[in-house]
Amino acid sequence: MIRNTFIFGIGGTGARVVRSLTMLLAAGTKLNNTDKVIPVIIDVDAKNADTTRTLKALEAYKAIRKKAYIAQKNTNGADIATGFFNTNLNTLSSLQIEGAEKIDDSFQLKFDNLETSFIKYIDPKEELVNDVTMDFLRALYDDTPSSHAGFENTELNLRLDEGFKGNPNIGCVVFNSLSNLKEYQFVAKSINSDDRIFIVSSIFGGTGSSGFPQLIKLIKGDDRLRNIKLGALTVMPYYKIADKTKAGGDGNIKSGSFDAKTEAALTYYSKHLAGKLNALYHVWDNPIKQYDYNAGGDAQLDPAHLVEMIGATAVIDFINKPDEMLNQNSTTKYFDYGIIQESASIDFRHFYEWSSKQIMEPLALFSYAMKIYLDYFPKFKDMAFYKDLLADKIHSDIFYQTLSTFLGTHFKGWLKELADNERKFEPFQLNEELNSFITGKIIPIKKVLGITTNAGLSELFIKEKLGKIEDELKKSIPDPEKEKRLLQLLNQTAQECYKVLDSLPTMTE
Amino acid sequence: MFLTIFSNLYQLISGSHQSVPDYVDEVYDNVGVPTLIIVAITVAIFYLLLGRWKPIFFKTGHWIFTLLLTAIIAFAFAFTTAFKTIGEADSYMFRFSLVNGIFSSILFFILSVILKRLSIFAKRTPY
Repeated sequence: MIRNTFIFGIGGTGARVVRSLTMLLAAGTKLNNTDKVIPVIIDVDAKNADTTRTLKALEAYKAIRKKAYIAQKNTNGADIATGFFNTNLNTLSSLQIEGAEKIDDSFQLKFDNLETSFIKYIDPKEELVNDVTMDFLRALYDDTPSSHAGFENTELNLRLDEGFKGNPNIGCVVFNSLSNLKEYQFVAKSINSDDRIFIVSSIFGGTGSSGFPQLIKLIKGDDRLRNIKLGALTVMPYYKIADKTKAGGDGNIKSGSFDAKTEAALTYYSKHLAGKLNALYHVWDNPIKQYDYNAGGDAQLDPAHLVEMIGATAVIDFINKPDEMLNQNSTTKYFDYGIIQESASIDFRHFYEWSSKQIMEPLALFSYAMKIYLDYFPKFKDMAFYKDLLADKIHSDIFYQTLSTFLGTHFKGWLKELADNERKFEPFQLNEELNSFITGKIIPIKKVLGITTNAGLSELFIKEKLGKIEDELKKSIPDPEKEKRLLQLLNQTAQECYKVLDSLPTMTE
Repeated sequence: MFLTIFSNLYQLISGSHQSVPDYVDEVYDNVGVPTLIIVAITVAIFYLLLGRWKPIFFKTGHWIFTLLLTAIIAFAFAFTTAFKTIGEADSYMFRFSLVNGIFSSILFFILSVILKRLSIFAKRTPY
């Protein structure tokens, strides 16, 4: 049974987890029985750099897959999803829905009328009615004016298009209008009974923690969606934020309040959401790293963190779970994630078998491909495969530029951020040669009487494999589809590298 | 048949040596056929053996080196064969050997164009 999965990434953390998911799916992590995965990024902070970066990565993924992925068939003629970019990560508009209002070809769900303050949003015509008076609103929300020194605490005068600044009490009001958005209505119309929904949010911020329960409420209140398999990831605190240094209206987010917010939200979830979800994943870490204070906007560009990547594995686990594991009515299954050994620096050795096989192995393959494309290809310009596939196009064709950006900026940037964050996730030595590329496992160079008999993943080995694989691929993939040949070439060459590596390092090595 | 082809070819380019009939009777054929075989083997080694084995000898520089080496071998082979048959060197022998070197280069280029597509690493060599 083939189904679609809709993934709602709410707020900055939701976007960052979807970013990690994009990288893992680009690496070829396999999803069972899946036709399309439709990420929907929900963030009212229109300029949030985390969200913008995720959207760019998603768009690059989609463009690369469209041009270069070859759907392989098994003996029965059914598609076998395998290799890099094998998951059809696509936009809502890619679904063909009769009678539905046309929507933008975008991964983002856009709220209307948020270019204003909270008070103008809830009372646009300034005509408070019935029992709702200004005094009543002042009792609920802080209304410090912009001229006041304490403006950072304002709630009623907070600009909504800059995010909720850690105020879920404001967010839940805005998210009440979610059902009016045409993108949400499109989801409601397009979803089939076998499809699944997964929601990713943080529990300690403003947007995610308010959007998550509202979205559950909407889904469970919709006859068409009520019985859909529903999963969620709740990301609990895993970083700290430096104290605010400048006065102003960009909120007053304090990491000291994260635990209290988390506790309050968990209490709410246990009372009101238990049984409404089929699976609820939790992930957190002892906050070590302190990020600079950026309450949203284009300055909020937090580096990727291991917790976000582990969060992305929750999405994969949920999609791959067979129906019978999620079928218990009114019972929510809870999942946590653990690593083999506590350490400040994590690499392949720290993961249990499922993660190692399903997530880390594809990640290693894609990283080999990235390394070969970025570091080795420029040295191989005199090779026949390079002249055939890349020479005329690499600097001018949009596909090659997109691939270079995805590998060089999105993927490598993501790996670098993971390695530089705390706790570190450093499975690769990005600046080393391929023989020392995998942390914890060096490929030995074998010599007999001082003569090298096996140089491992040497430049000559890579050249030979690239040449021979391309020569074979040329027989089955014609010149007009060179992009497909290039992706297959990277795929198969990475597999040859992995054969030499033999297996990922483990704790016992 | 080869005798006729090579006699005509060599005489066309380097002129005939009327006073020494050994060239027509023996030398042209004894040089032409082996030169053809030497060039074919060299090109096959470049494109089919090395060119399919490992990417170690496939660049345009390698190709030029092989072509020059083949030309030198062809020159030396023509000269020694003619010298052994005739017994003394003259200017015609040098001219004939030089023509054989040039002839081997042209043949090398033609065979390269034909065989390069069968190579893996040298299929874009020399162009």
